[in-house]
Amino acid sequence: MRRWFGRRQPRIVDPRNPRPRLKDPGRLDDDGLAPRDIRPHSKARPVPLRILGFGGFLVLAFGALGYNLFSLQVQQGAQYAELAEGNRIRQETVLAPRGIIFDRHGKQLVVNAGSFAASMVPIDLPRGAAERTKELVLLGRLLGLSPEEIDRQASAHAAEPFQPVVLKRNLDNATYEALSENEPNLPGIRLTTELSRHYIEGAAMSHVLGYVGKLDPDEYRDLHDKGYLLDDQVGKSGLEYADEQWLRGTSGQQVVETDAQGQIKARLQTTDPVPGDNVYLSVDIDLQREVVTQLQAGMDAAHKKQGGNLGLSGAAVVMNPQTGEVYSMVSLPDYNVNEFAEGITTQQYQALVDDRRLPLLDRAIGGLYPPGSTFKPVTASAALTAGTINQGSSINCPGRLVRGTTTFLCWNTGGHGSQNVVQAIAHSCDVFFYTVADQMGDQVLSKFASDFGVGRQTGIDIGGEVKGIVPNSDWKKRYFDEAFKETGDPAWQDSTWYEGNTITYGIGQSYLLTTPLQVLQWTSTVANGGHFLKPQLNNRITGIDGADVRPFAPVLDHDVQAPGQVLAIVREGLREAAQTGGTSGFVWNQAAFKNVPSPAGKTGTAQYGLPDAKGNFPTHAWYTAYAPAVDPEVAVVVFIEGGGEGSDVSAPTTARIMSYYFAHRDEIRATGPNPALAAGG
Amino acid sequence: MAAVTERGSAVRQYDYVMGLFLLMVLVLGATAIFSASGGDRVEFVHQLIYIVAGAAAILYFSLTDYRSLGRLYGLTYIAVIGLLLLVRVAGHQALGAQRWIYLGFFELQASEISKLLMIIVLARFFHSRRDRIKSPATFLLGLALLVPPTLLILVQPDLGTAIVFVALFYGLAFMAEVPKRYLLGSLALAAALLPLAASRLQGYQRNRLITFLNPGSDPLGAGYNIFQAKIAVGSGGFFGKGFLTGTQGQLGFVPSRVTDFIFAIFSEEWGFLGAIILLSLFFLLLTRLLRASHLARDQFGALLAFGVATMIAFQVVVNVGMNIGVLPVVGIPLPFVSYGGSSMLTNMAAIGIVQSILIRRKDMLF
Repeated sequence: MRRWFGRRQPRIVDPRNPRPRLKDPGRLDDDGLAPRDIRPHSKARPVPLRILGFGGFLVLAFGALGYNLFSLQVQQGAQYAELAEGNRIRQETVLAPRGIIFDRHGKQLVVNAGSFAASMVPIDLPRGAAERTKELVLLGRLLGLSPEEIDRQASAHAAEPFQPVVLKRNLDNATYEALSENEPNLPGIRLTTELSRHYIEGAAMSHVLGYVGKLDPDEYRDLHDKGYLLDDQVGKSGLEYADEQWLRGTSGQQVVETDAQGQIKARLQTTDPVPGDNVYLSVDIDLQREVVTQLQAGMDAAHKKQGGNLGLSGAAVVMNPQTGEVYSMVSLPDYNVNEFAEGITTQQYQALVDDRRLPLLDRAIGGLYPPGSTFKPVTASAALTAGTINQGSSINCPGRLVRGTTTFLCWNTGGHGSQNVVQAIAHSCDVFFYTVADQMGDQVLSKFASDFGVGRQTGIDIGGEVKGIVPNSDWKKRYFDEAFKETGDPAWQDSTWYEGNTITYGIGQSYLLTTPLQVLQWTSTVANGGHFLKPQLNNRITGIDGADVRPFAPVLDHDVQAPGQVLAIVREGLREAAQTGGTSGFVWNQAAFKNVPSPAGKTGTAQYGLPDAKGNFPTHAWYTAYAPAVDPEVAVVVFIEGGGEGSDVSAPTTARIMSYYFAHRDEIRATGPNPALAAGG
Repeated sequence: MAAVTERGSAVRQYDYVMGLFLLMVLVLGATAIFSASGGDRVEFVHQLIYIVAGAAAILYFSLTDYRSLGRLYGLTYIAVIGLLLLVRVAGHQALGAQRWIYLGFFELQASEISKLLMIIVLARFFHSRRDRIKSPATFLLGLALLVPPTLLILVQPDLGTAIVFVALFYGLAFMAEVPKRYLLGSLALAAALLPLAASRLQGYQRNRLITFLNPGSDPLGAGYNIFQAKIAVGSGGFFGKGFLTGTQGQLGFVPSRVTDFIFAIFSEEWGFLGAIILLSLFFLLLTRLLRASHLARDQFGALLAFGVATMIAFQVVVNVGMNIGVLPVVGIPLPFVSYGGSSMLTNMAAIGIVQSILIRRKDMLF
């Protein structure tokens, strides 16, 4: 061990250097370097092979490094420069602010509310499993989301890893503060401002406006070629869906420089998004609110009278029969679209779906009901056009029609006596229309019914419309056989068309199913002299500069086959129906509705479903009307599901709506920005 | 009079050419640190202080007789072991490894200092065994000296320094003329045993070992980071992107910018041209160190200088290799360039020792 700690070596005099010049190196070398270790002067010996060898190794090693550097920087420099650019430069899509929806006078119905959102850029999340988990947990705690949910979002957006995904919208102040403090510890998380849709008339316009939501995977598949992003919003229902092409606008692009954490360092180039076009509706929002109020009141009255589940839902539409402008379209119960826009919870959604009154169903265009006596104008037009009857033909009504063993009752079992077509419409004589339908036959009637829009979409500019059923013997055979094959239910087994099917067809029963808007559409067609117009909720569409992109123009689908003089006869019946002696005359005679000029209208009390213990069927309460009787300018349909007698609840409701319309006629008919609003009022 | 003359000749014996190359490396290195140290430039300011302190270390060690360094090499060796044990006990943990000892004003990285101390120990050991250098006992004793500090370094864990220790051992043994069959034989044996040992490990054990030896090696994360360094170098092209305009470095894509991957920062901004100039300066500096080994008046000096050359050469080659993606990442800094006081002081002191060897290559008064 001693020698490890510097054992003294014996001093030996170096024979080559016996007399050191200045100082005895032997004394300096008392740590073991004996003078004999001192080597000859370097010039006197060759460079050792080992040093040369090491030098050679260095030449090789540095040569290899130099070669690799050459290959990397000079030969592949361009590729790596591209990779570096790809790191640094990102192109991000900037979504356009969605167009605003106004009512016909320019009253704003939706706003794009700016709010803070927490967004995630999936590619910038930490790559290490441990760090990633740590970040997701922290983030989950700050946002009140589960880390798994955030992770799921990140994987769901793996296809667009550079595009920010909104994790949470409408951040409150505390969350915003906490996030901005933690931003340096949260690579891949950005605080952004974004516009979210808020509906001012959340409930009254729910079915008309619809709502926007995040793309679902199916929508993304269909739309991503059109520039939609995974995190995009798209109209899901109502006008938000139907007007998507106008409202969406054109996305902008920004080229940004980001650092390794994904934070934006500079905006290098920006193409501003072009906001969506603004949509002015045909709807008058004040009238819409009035219709909601009146329909609700009518439903409440009906429910009080009918009890049970009856009278809990309904629909009403107000339209200009000359142009197809829809002034108001209401389906009750409605729902709060803002719940959807803000991101509906599963519970909220389930509650809406489970509600037996089906608040999500837009009954005006999506509900199918037997139209009952509101169909009689169609039967009358068909019979007059087909020549089954003429203006003078009379049919005696003893209160019933007997065919074989079956008796078909008139609503007035006491009988109407001799009725011509005008009287039959005015009194809503069932026997007259039983007889006419029976004589005309199901094929003829169904042909004319189709001409009046039954069994086809009205063509209203909104999604979610159903066609309904225009029945005849062919239809029954096809439909019943198919249904029987599919279900095996014996109820579908007999596909024979019976005479009774034709007879009840005449009064809008049988297998006939229509939407309230279809009822209004044929009423309007009768009212305007045979022009079958498409109803339009959109009035005009303007660009951001305010100029019309698409002005309003009525859309004529076709002119019905029924000639003008036939429709004039039917209109006379409808006018008399609203006068003393007519089915709804007692309503219009009330002083409150005297401001409605020469109304014309048809009640409907349509049986549906299963009879109660006493054999009475529940009935839908219908009323369809227009005014004035000559050159009508407004048409209204009111439908109350299970509401009882049409004349009892739906006719008064219609009268109230019409009375409101005529009280505010000039304001409602005017379009363009409301002068009061333009003046800043 | 004579003494004055000799003193004058001592000043003349300094290798100013080596000093010039070193100065140029330091200047290039400092600019790279400036570029990589971000807005506050705090690392740059610190690095300047380390360079000044390093210059003092050069002066001090060049004036110290290098032979006195080897005098108590047993104690030096114990100091190495003690230092490394101290790190285990009182060390400051950072980046998943225990490497630093806090000295109140300075965090000493014991592994850096111990590189130089091991050169002294091993040089002195081989020198003392010069008469029995061919004996297997010499080789085995040398190995016995190498293994304990290497294991202590490995468990810090600091794979890079452990590899440097091994390189130093083989470099010095080679220079001390230990028979090549021992050196090659032992290396061949290790090369044969390593895969055998690795194959007996389960996958997860192997991963654990890798993570243990190299904590930064999160398979996905590290791979991404290393690739970012490679992109930085490659995207520099021939002329580079220009001072302070390297996007990979400035925007934080390159990991450990001021330390292990400073070469990537430098190469991105100065391109192939700058990288080759820096490598050439290192090469020239190394030739001057080898020259010193040749000129040394005794074998101990020759071994010391050779050891210093080995240390710097090995670290330069491995560090640059890992920056350009041709060698695995093993936490070895680029001498005189990477940010860090311990590394700077150690390397500068090593230069000082080599200067001391050169000054004393002729007999003289001191």
